[in-house]
Amino acid sequence: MAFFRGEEGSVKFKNSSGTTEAIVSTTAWSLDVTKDILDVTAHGDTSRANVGGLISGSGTIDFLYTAASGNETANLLADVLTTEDAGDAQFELFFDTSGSKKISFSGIVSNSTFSANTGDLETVSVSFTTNGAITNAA
Amino acid sequence: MTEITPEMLDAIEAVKGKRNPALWDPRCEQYMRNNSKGTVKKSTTS
Repeated sequence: MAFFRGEEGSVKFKNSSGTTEAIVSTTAWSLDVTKDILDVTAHGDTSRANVGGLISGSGTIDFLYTAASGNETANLLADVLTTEDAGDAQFELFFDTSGSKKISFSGIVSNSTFSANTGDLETVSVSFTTNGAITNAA
Repeated sequence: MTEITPEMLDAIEAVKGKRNPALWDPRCEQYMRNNSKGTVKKSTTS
């Protein structure tokens, strides 16, 4: 049995089609995947019955502000400003440093929070919502 | 507000499919930056 520590995680991103690239100085990521529940309880049933519906996901990526430019870290930081967003940004959230255990999907950056607090490092927190299928290779 | 140049409009059209100045965003800026790199002409020796 293997255990994985949070430090082993990493993130890759691409703000359009193409090859994803590593995001610099990430400190945390999270993904919440949800499946709608459809009630199929019918007359004559004595217990409620359900089937699964649509699957969706949302989450956050946190990273330190490093003034990156001309790479995907800069693109992730700015992607919330994309107009008429087609939801084609590619996300890969890794559990391990070797980069084989990951969850990947397309999505939309829905929120970015920038923080500059006295006595602390400046940080960026990006929230996203998935668009289409979520692939789990964890 | 950013003043949109004809070159920026071209980038907007390439990325968004519309020549709408209101659609200028970081992705258009990225396209313009990459496109300008690709159009640098190499000098010839002959």
